[in-house]
Amino acid sequence: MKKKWKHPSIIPGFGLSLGYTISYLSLLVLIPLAVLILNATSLTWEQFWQIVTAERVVASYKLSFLTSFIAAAINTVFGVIIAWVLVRYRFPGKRIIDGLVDLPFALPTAVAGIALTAVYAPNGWIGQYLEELGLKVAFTSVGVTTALIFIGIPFVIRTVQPVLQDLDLQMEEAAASLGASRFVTFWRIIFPQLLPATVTGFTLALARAVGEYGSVVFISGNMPMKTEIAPLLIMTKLEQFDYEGATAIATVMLLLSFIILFVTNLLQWWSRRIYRME
Amino acid sequence: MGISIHNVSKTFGNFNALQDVSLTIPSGKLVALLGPSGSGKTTLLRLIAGLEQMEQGQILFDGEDTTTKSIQERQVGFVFQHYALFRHMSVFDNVAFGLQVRSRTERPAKTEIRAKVRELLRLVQLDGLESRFPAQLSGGQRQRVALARALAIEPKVLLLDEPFGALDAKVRQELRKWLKQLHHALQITTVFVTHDQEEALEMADEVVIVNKGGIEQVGSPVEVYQRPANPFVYSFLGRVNTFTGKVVAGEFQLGALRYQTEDTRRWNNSHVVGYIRPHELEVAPVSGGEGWAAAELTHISMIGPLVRLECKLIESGIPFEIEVSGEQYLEITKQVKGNLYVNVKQMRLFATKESPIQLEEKNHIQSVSLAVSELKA
Repeated sequence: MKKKWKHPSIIPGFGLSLGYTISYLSLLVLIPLAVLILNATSLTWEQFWQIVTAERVVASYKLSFLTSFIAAAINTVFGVIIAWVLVRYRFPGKRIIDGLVDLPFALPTAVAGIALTAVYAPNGWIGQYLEELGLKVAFTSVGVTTALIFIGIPFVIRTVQPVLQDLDLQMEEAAASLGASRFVTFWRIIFPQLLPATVTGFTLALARAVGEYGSVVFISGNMPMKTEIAPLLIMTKLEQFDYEGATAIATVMLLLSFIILFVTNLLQWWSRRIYRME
Repeated sequence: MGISIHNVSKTFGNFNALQDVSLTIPSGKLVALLGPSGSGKTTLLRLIAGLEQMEQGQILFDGEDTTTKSIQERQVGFVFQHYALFRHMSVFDNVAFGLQVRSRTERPAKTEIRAKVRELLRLVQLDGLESRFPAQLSGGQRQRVALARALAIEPKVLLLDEPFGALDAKVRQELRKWLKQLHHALQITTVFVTHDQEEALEMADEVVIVNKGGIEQVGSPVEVYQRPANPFVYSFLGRVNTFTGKVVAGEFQLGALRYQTEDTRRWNNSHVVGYIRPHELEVAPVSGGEGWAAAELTHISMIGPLVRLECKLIESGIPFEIEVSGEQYLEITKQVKGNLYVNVKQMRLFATKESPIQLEEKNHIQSVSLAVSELKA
C-alpha cells in the first residue's frame, strides 16, 4: 500500500493553516532573502570574493560574531541566575524586576546605545572609575559586547523561567533524602532539565546580537578594523549606493548565521536527546 | 529503628497543621497515618523525614534527637505520592543515585553499585528494565522504582506519602499485598500516609488516626475498628448509622427501639447519640417483640456478597442502612409483607456534643464498607 504523505488528523483546517503558514513565511522571510542572494549574484564570483574578503570586512565579521558570542555566553550564565532568583525566591519588588527584564525588548535600541555610552564613556558615571582602573568600555570591543549583553538579556531569562517554574520540587526533595547535597542536586537534577531551554535562550540571544545595529553604533565608536561591526559596514555601503557590496556582505552574514543556528539547533536536539526530554 | 515524637507543632501561616502531637512508632512496625485530607498526616510524615522544619517539639530516632539533623543526614527513605522519579535518568541511574552521590570515601565501587541496583530491581520485580526511562513505565512500575531508589540507601526508616494514591484499583490491591510482604521480609520501620481506611486497616500493624492537626486514636486495625475512641473515628472508619435518643432507666430509647447494656446504664437520664454499624442491626420480616421498630425499605443496592438496605424508621423518619448477606436478603424478601422490623444488636453511645447532622454527612461520604469478618480474615 502506498503511504500517504498527509495523515488524516482529528483537528480540521490542516490545509488552510499550512497554506497560510507557507505564504506568510514566503512573503515576509523567504522572498526577501532570496532577493538578497539574487542581488548578490549580479556580481561576478571574483568581485564577490574580493568584497567579502577585504581586510576591513573580515575584521567586522570577526568583531560581530566574537562579541555576539561572548555577550550570549555571559547572558546565558546571568540569565539562568536571574531566572532562578525570580522563580525561587520571594522578595519585595520582585514583580517590578520581573517587568524590567522585558525592557530591552521594548526600548528603541538607539536609546539604549546612547544611555550606555553616556554611562560608560571615559567621563561617564561608571566609565570614569573604570578608566582609573585602566579599563576602557565605550569605543572599544568591550563596549560593543556591553551593548549586545543589554539587548540579549531577556532571551535567556524568558526561555528558562517557565521551565524552572514547572520543575518538580519533589524531585529535589527526593535527591536530598537520598543524601545529595544542594550542589549535587543542582548539577545532577536541576541543570540537566534546564539545559535545552538554556541552549534555546543562548541561540536566541546570539541571533539577536549578530543582527544588532542601533545600540552598538553609538557605543562602539565605529573605528574601521577595530570597532566596526558588520551590520554597520552594510549601512555604510548602502549610504554610498554600493548596493552590490552591501548585499555581498549581507549574504555572507546570512550564511554564517545560518550555520551557527544550525549548529546550536543540533546542540539543542542532542541535549534533549541525552536527557530524554522528548 | 523506633521513632518518638514529642509535642510537635507546625503552622503554615495562620493554619495550624499540627498541634502538640506526640506519638511513638515502635521499631520494625508498619504504621499507617490515616486521616481526611488536610488533617496534617502528610505534614507529620514530612517532619519525620526532615523535609519540613517544626516550630516546637522533638523527634527522636532511637532516642537520638534529630532536630538539628538535615534530611541528608537522617537516612530516611522517602517515597513521594507522585514518585518524583528523575525523569532524565534511566531506571538504573535513579536507583543508583543515592549510592553515587555519597562522598568518595563512602561510595561503593562501580561494580558494587551495579550489583546492588540489580539486586534491588529484582526485589521490586523490575529486573531487565534498567535502561528504561520513567516515561516508559506504568504507574505501578514507577512506584516500585521509587521504592527501590529509597531502599538503595539502606534507610533506617521508610516513609511513604500516599503510596498508592495515583494508581488504579487493581494495581493498588496488588501493590498493597506486595508491600506488606516486602515489609515482612525487610523489617524496616515503615510509616505510610493514606486517606483510605481500607488500605490502612488492611496493611498496617498499627493505625494512627489523624484529624485537624491532632491524633484521635492509635491502635491495631481491629482495635480502632471495633473500639473507636470517639465519634470521629467511628464515622471515619467505615459506614455508620447515628441514632439520637435518650437513656431512661438504663435503657436507650428511640421510639420503639430499645437497647440496654452495661454501657447504656452509665448514661442514665441523658441525651446520647448511638453509633451502629450497618451490620450491627438485626432485620426480620416480623417484629421480634420488645425493642423492635418498624422500618420502611427505600432502596436496595448490591455490593459484592452483601446487600445494603436503605431504610427509614416509620415512627420518626430517621434514615439508616443495614447490610445483610445475599441469602439473608432472599429469606427476608420471601416472607416480608409491607414493613421490615429492626433491632439493635450492638451500639456505642457518645454524648450529643458533636452535632449529629455533621456526623451523618460524614457518614454519607464514606463509600467503603467493612465487615468485621473481613477484618479477621
